[in-house]
Amino acid sequence: MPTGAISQGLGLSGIGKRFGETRALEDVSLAVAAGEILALTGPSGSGKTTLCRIIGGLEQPDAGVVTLGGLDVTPAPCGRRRVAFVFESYALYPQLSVFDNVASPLRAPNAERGPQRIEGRIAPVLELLEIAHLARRLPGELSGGQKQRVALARALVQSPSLFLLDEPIAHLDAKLRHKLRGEVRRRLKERPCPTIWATPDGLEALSIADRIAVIHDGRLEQIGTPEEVWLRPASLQVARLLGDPPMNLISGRVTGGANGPLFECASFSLSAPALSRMRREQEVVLGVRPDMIALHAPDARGTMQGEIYSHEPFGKYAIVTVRHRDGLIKVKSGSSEQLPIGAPVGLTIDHGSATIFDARTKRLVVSAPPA
Amino acid sequence: MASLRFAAVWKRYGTVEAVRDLNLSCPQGEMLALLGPSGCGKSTTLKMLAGIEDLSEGEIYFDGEPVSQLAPGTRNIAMVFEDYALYPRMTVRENIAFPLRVRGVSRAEASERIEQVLALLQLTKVADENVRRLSGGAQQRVSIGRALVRDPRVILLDEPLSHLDADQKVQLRTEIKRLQKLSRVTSILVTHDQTEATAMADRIAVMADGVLQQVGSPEDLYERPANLFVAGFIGEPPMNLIPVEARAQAGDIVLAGGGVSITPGERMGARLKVHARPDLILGVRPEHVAVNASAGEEASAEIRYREPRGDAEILTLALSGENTLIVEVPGPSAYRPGDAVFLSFSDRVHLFDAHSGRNVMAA
Repeated sequence: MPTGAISQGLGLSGIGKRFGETRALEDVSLAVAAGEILALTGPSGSGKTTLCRIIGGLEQPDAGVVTLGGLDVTPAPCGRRRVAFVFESYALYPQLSVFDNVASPLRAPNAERGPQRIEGRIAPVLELLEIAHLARRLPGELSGGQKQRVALARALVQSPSLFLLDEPIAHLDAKLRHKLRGEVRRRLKERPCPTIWATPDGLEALSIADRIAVIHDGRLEQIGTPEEVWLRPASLQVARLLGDPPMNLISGRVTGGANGPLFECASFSLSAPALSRMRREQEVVLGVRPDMIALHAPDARGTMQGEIYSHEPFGKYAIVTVRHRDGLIKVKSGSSEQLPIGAPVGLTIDHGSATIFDARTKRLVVSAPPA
Repeated sequence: MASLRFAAVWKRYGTVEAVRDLNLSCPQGEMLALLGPSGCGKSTTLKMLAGIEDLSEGEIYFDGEPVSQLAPGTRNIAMVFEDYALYPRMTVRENIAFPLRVRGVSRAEASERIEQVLALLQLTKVADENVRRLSGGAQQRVSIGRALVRDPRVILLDEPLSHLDADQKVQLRTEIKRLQKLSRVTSILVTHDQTEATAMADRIAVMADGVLQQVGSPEDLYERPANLFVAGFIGEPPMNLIPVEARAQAGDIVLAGGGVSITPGERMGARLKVHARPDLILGVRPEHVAVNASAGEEASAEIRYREPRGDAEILTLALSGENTLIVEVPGPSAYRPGDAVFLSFSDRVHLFDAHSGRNVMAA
């Protein structure tokens, strides 16, 4: 059991959990080093929160081992693990002021006593999270975003063995989220313990983490640095989660062309370097990032044909959705030209950027080379 | 379908002025977004339009006719709420049919309209499913269908995406915009999220503290923000706002302060209406700063942290002193915290009066 200021990495080995007939987690293994931020991401219902609860000792796994600082803490109750939590539901004491909520872990009977007074530790954190002016308020008088910052402050003032943050900034408005992401990350990085940051938002995961673990349907799909998961998504599930907007995924098969293998679907065929090692007739899914597709005049040579489905202008770029025979494709375009719904348009896909997944296993076969 | 106009509308709650002298119109067939932070007056404005709140002063017109004395039920307004507000025991088709049933529309006519709306919203396949079995995005589509089917004069969308997961948000945003364009129903969208407003609306009315700050197309607000509030509110990540002064230097005007020094080029110089003076705020969007590894540029900086976002990367830079600057570069980049870099600013900068907050650049 880690005590005092000792704290090192977190280890999970073969974690499994069922709720009745439902498999919540299966064989999840990973390690997080001290000073490392691991983002746990996946769609809602993927198992993130269950995994957080097992790591925090609020739930017992059916299989596997949790270690903290090299020690097996699997049977240890929550209170003995010294985990600083932020719950998505905030879990504030309704009868305590903002200040007293944040101070509560420092006043607990088994709290470590630091050299600084409680006030001295709390004030800068309230300041950072822009809630210093609310210190005397009760949680019932706060907005959701303010409550969430109180919960985050209560975690940040501690010197725990592990930070366990379940969607810690989900309820903040966009500006504040942007502002605090970097500052909170910097503070967590200075601590001699690991951080788990759970979020359903793949972009947030990319932004804040040293490494990202993608969970889908209770299984670990991929774990890697932001660059690795972005450039080489291990499965269709990972590809669907990342990007603004995410990669286009188009079903088709590999066929033989005069100059080598082609990807072929109902509305177009494409030769791509990624196909060179593929078996003919294999059912595949072509992944193309929205920024790797260009719009052209409808009659331009060598383009695939479609029609404008929707056009969303964002100033620095526009997201144009084009309907083709196989469905919808999203294009991130640098042009701000307004395109009317239904107008015909030509598309070209940057051949070098194609990523290929196996349609049956849903796993990555060949990733696009880095640009 | 109607055109809408707010004429000198005020709303007071005791001494609190929730909406102050609002003058705003929405032509027939347009989607207008009311955008602002909580407490800005957008929801009060929506409620006055719907007839849920009385006006303290002023008038609202539909097609030139005053409606402020009309009961809510007689204004023929359809609402789409953030929590969908569907009838949970009914199927998709029954939910969409409901407004026609209560209005006693004939079975034949109702059936034709319902099928049209189901097809438009791509709900035909799930028409006989219970709505509780659908995803949040699909439920919100049903709620939009229920609004469209009764052929209202105006549809009010109150934070329609706020309960959805990120991926469903992005999908439904696209769908709502398309539906509005195809159906040409005059629509008012209330949101606190500038991304949603930008994606969906033809024009955006930005509100703060009960006061309309600016109304214009998404492009107008992005390229020509009228004041500091709009400048900081539109765009993600937000515009950098740097206190500077304008100095005369060798016949040129130089904008300097906060670790930045810019000599405006010819194109920008022509739009600068300022002479040497203090108390200006320079506005620079993160995507309009070029980051270079070589010296001789307009500012030098050190990378404090980087946030990868896939095809883009957001860098927080430390300028001289305590100043920081947010820039956006293509991702993944090779920049790392601690790297020294040099910056150059494009002509796409904005200049505001530090006291009034007004944009002082000519269009």
